[in-house]
Formats: sequence, structure tokens, C-alpha cells
Amino acid sequence: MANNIKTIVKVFMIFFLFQISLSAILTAIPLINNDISEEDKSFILFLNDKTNFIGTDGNTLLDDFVQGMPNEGIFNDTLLNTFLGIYKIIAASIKFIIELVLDILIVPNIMMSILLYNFIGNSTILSVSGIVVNIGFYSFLYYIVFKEGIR
Amino acid sequence: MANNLSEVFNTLNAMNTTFEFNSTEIIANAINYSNVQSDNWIGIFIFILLGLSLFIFINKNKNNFKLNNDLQMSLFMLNVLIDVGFIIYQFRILANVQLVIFIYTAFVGLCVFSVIQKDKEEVN
Repeated sequence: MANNIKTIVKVFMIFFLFQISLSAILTAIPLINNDISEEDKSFILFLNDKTNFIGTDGNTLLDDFVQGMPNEGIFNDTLLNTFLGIYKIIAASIKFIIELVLDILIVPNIMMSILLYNFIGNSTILSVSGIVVNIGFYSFLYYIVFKEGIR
Repeated sequence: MANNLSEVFNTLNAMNTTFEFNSTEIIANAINYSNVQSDNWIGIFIFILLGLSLFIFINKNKNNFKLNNDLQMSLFMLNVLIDVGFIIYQFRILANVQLVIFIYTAFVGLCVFSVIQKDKEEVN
């Protein structure tokens, strides 16, 4: 059982590194290159939508977190407001962690979209195939890790 | 030490020469004149060749890099590969973001399956 969990944690660590490096490269490329081609620009926008967990307001994951943290005059207010303000901050960080976890869980989806982007120019087919691949990957992981057994 | 350095600077001043060395200009001129910008097979070939040679070098010297298991190896290689891809994109050897990220993603997939496979082999 411990080995099963270890394997899953290893896989998610690789996924996490993949997310971070994609975000880094997507942030850095527009900074170093002034004349990006239209093709690359649309690809960068597509990947930004995929890699950042876009909320209802169109904010990215990090934007939501940064906006959720500040509470003005938190220690100069009444006792009740101070108490509630601290709870708001804790809730913002919990929300961030949950969204981050969801973001890491859909990495097979993102990977399949990137691999198929050159061949299929249709976002509907891409997202559907991504969901299929996501379900397939997790059933595969379940089968390999729990059924076949890493004891 | 300071005395020696000041002597050196004094002699350099006495020579009355100007050193004009603009490295960024030299690199920019080299890129312009050699016309290396490409977004097709040559770039992909150079990227894969560089990545593969680095992989072989690191894999041979695993112990010197203190990489004990497959996870550490793949995490390290992913970092190396994203750096190589970034540099190759920056110097316009492979001037296409899609292809750089495509090759990187394919490598990530390989890493995931190799980690699962290694864990299975170790136990059985």
C-alpha cells in the first residue's frame, strides 16, 4: 500500500513540475521575444487557457489567490471583523490549494491537447479527446497500481 | 593585491588605447549573418540531438550528479530539457514554441511511464 501511494506521489510530482515549467516558459517567451508570429501567439493563448485554472471572472489561479489575500485594516477593526477577516484569508488559501490540485489532476488532458494541437485544429474535438484520455489515464493508473499490484 | 591592480590600471591608461567589445552586438551580427532561423526539421533535429547527448552524458555520470533513482533522474532531465528548449528558442534555432513544447511534453509522458514501470520492476 505504501509503495502504491509512493508511485502516485511520484507521478504527481512530475505533473507538478510540468505545470510549473509550462507556466514559466509561457510567461518568459513574450518577454524575450518582441516579434512573435501569429501562429505562436494563438498557441500561447490556447496554452494559457489550459494551464491556468481560469475562474468565472476570467482570472487565473494566481490572480484569484492574490486578490483573495488582502483584507484592509484587519487589525484596526472590531474584534468580530478581525476574526472573520482571518477566516477569509484561510479560505482563500484553501481554495487556492484545491484549484491547484484540480489543475494538477487534469495534466494528462493538457498533455494530449498539446500533442494533438498540430494535427487537429478544432478545440471541441481536442477537449473531448482530452477528457477521454484523462479518464483512460486514471483507469490505467488504478489498474497498474492497485489491481496488478505494486506490493 | 590592490597595489598590483592599480599598477595594471596605470599601465593600461598609459597605453592610451580604447577597448571596444560589445558582446551582444557580436552575437546579434553572428545570428543575422549566418541566417540560422528555422522552424522545421533542422531545428527539431538539433533539439533532439542536444537533448539526447545531454541525457546520455547525465545517465552515464548518474553517481556524480547524485541521482539515485528514476524519479530524481527524470525531474533533473526535465529541468535540463526545458532549459535547452528555451535556449534553442531564444537563439532562433527552433523558432516555434509549439514544437519545443511538443517535444518536451512527449518526454514528460515517457518519464511518467518509465517511473511506473521502474516501480513495478523493483518490487517484482
